[in-house]
Amino acid sequence: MSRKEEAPIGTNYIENLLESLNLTAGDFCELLGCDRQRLEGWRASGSILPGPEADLLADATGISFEAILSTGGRVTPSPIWQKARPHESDEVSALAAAHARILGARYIAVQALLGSASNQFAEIVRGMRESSSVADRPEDQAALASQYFLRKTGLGDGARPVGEVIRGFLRSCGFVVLEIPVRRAGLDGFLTFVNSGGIERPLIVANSYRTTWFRRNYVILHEVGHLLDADPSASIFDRGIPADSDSERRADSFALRTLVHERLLRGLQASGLRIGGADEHELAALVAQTHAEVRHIARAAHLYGMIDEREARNLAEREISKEVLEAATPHGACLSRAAAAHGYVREPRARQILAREKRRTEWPIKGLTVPVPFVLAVKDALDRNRITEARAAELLMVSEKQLAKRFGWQLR
Amino acid sequence: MIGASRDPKWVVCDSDALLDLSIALGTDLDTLLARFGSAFYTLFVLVEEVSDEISRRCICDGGAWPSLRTAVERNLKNRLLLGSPFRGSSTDPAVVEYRKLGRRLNAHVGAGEAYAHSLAIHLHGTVLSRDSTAENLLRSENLPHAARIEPIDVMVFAASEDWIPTVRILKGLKRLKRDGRLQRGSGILKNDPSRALRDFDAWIGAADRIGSRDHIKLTLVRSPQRTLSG
Repeated sequence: MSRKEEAPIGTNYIENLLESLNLTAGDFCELLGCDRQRLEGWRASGSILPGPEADLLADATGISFEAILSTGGRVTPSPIWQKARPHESDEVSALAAAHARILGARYIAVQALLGSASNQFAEIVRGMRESSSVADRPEDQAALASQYFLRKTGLGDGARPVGEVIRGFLRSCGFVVLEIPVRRAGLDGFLTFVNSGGIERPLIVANSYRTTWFRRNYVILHEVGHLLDADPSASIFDRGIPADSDSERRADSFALRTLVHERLLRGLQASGLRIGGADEHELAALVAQTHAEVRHIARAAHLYGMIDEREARNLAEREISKEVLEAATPHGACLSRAAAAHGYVREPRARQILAREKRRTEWPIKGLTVPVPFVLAVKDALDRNRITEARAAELLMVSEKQLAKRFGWQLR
Repeated sequence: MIGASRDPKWVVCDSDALLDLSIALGTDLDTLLARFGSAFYTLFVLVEEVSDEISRRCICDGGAWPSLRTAVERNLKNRLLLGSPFRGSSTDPAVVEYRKLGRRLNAHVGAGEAYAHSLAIHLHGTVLSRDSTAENLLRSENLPHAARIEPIDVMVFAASEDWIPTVRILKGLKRLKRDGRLQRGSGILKNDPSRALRDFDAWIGAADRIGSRDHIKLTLVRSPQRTLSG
């Protein structure tokens, strides 16, 4: 049977899908990384999408391709899709969320192949939610959930900072944490869910475009805080959206109390570091030892009654020069030269692929930056013979030739 | 096609294997496909995922891929190469099963390879592929896979049937070798020293001086390809 003789599947599901998702043809092509000619071909023939495109669409929208076909394309968009659309006229958020979902789904699929996808996140989230009553004030709920989180995870022990270990810890519990650049400065991050083997995993995305490592520590925990919501199916952390809802106040309070927890701050004060009236070097030391931005340190110190409101306001407005911060902490180097910073990324394999150019996708979606842990997971899967080079290239969205060239991997 | 008076023998092609044939045979590829169809009712099929892969590699890799795409388009038009017969209704159980298996295999191997194996399994056909790594990986993962032939097998067969002159095939092999697409395999022949056919390079290099034992040369080129690539 030649392609021209194919029978259409009856209903033009692509038209309906575009309408349901409120997408133009151009958006759809950008979403799947296909050209207009191909899309028009599918639209005209009504034929089903090829396997890889169908999988991409399912990962991007959170709706299985079978469900799309069975409803003739009349689908209910996923919560993150619904939340991302109304705030944006330029579709950046919706497409960014969809692309992040694709990366998240692929990352978790590779982790599942490696047998390293834990389900511990479910217990932690349940415990956080059960630690308080829904009748409590959002701030009180957040305080109790934060206490539970720090105790359960052991991150609150020893008055140690949380920022440096939070990503690895969340990943080891089965959360999917991605730091990817989304070219929109107001968007800090978002939370959505990806399905892996029938389990809905929280996907936390922190926007690394024009944000610092310190900022992203807070953003990641803010999105964890949104798991306390009655309907945690999706949230978007955007500086353009008013943050006065119960949900935002709870997430903010959770992030603050977890990132700059009281024990840590009191420990630093006891060690002789001044919080109120700190000079630039002391502030840099505070940032270095809390892994948080100055404004969050100021707010936390005020919250714990260590400084008054006026002092907190003054402190929050203080700035630290790059040089002083870089001298105080290796993480400070991420402000200007992350890839070169000694000690910023410890794993030698990770250091080799830190440059964004090495992680930029080419095909089918061009211009995404895949996260370092994802690249490393793909490499592990390749080394352990769980995938072929062709699959590794597909996962990282580059050609096999580029795979060898960029990462210096010795392909068979 | 399915249900015709004679049962066709299906060969589902992967992109790299087609590229080998295209580089080695040029327009003789059309002859080869036509002869297979008319003499043995062996039909060569291209799944959409493979044809997408060819288009993509035209852009990403360049080289000989654009001429392969031209050859593929020509042969699809002339019906010497067929599109997948499993592209009908999404509710057709055969299509559903084919896609399901394709997706399972695609978790481990590239999309082209995965869907080619899936179609070949459902058609009880063979996969034309040079990727033995994928086949071994699927086997080690206890996943189903179809029987596989390599481009060199097809060329040896074409020579043995006198469809294409051996000298042209040997010249084609030289081109493949120049492109780094043939592997050295002289060590494999150690078990048969009496025939003094140890040096793979020498045999490929001697393609301009064709003698009565041309076919033996081809067979010996074929052996290392099959053995070493595994």
